[in-house]
Amino acid sequence: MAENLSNPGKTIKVDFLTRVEGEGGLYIRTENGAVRDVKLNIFEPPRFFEAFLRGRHFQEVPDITARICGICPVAYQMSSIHALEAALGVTPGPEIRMLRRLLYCAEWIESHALHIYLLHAPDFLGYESVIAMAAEHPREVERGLRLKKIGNQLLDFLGGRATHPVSACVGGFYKVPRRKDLARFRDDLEWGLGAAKETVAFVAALPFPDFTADYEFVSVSHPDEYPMNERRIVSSAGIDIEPAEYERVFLEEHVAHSTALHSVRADKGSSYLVGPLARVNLNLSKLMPQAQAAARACGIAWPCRNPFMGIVARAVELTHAYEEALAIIETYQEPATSRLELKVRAGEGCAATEAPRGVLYHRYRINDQGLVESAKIVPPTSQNYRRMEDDLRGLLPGVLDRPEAEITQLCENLIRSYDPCISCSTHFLKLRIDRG
Amino acid sequence: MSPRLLVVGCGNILAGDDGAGVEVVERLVEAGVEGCQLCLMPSGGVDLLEMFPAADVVLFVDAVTSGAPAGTLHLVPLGAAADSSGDEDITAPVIVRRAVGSLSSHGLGLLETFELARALGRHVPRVILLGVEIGEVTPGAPRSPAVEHALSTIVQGFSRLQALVVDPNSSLWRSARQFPPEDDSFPGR
Repeated sequence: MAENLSNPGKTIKVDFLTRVEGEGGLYIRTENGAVRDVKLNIFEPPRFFEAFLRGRHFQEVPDITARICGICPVAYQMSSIHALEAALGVTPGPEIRMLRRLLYCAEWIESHALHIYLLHAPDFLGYESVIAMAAEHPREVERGLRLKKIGNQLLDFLGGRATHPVSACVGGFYKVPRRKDLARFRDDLEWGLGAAKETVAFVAALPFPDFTADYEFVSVSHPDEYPMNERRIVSSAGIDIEPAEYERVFLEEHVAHSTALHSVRADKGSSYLVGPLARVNLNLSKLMPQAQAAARACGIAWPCRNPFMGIVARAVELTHAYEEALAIIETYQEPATSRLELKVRAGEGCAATEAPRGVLYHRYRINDQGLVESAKIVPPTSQNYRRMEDDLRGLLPGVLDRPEAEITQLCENLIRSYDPCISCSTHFLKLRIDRG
Repeated sequence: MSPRLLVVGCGNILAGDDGAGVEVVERLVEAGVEGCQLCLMPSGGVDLLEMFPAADVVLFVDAVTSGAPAGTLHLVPLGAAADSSGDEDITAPVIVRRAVGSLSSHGLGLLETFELARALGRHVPRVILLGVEIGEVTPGAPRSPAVEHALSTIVQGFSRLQALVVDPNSSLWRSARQFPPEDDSFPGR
């Protein structure tokens, strides 16, 4: 539990993060009623995978990176595929491109529905968890579960298996779906589109803490499409770069209190925000028509600078993903060949795509045998760490006089709004053996 | 009609011993085990909920850490069917909640899923956890010999374990049990 934050000179650790060894913690120090220090430390698995990928054949990479995260395997797979295609100098055709967007839609549906209904909505409705919420709001929870299930089924169908999709590969897909098989999803996707719009109305009416911050929003950007797979990276502060310039503009820093690297703007050392809120703020006009209409009608002024309202941005994107998935299956044409023939060559390539929780950057160098010589993976959560700490620094001074349970809940709610990717490459259960 | 048994393997096969649950199920598929449905769910979590309607009994195979020697096997019953007295606590006190899980969509675990099903009034099958005590979970690490041995134990004697799991009167459902690596009393060993 947090100790009393309002006492002068207190050092506190919010141990909702620290009960499980190795998964991190939140450290806050106050002095004379002022916040002196905020340190967030969450275990981060992708770094281990960078070393693991060295020496592997490039075509093994997408299947390995898909296992970094149980919630966003498509994102890890897609960033690696695009980066490796850049290294090999190939660009798959429009049908493959649309299928990849469909795969991404499925992942956003699954991840956003889970986060909105099962993780974040209980915060605003005053429930400890979705289990307590389910007793009084079974309709909403069942709606969330069905929304998620459809995403799972689509991902399962397209990817071969739901959690770690295997059908996408460098150059295309191992196997592409038949048009008539995709058409079977139409009814479910239509139901989902309606339910997603209901979701926007549901979350926009939640009571949000009164807090805003001065963010630099960062997202992938495409001239004609809502950002998913490609290609430039833009920010609300005027950045507009190719992925190849990413490491010049954004810097990863070691910080003493964390095993994870923290990303900042390289020139001024400032934090920035990636994820649904940044994407909607920067790409509102590129949302599908119904999603855009829902965003504009929900009563929230965009650009929105309240991080707690990230749940509304997620709901808008949930709507977009359902709407775009429907549009893709309507127009889908089976490609003549499922994947390009690849000529192996030495090279380097990078790409950024939009994981459900934000920009995911990959860079690979491969040799003339097609073996990986170096890999770099910058996940969205590490880009948001500094921003999370800045938000906590901004939020805490205004709430230090509140009861500690309330402060803890507010901190949890804020961190949850980022949906941080936490230690997701392993899943073991921790048992306590009580011998009485 | 015999109870419908679903065997679910959880874990990441690229993270050393963490993949024990997935490996067990893959080996059972290879061995052509009959009389149950076998399924992989690398991340576990809330998707289990969608599998509950198809099962009367779920054997959930996962890597666990309790401080016991690597290769120790645990059998932990998680509760009775939903149509029992109703006041039985179906959560298992020996499974520690992943506190960090509540912060992100990565963490809705077995317990939470179980409780959510009950809160929604959904069909809740009997669930028993078959835990494999792990040693090494670093991504890319090989499986430790003790865990490898434990996996063979499970797969070789699976028909005996299967018979006990589907029998609601078997001793497996009475209390959690632990089988150290050298213990010969694990069902089927």
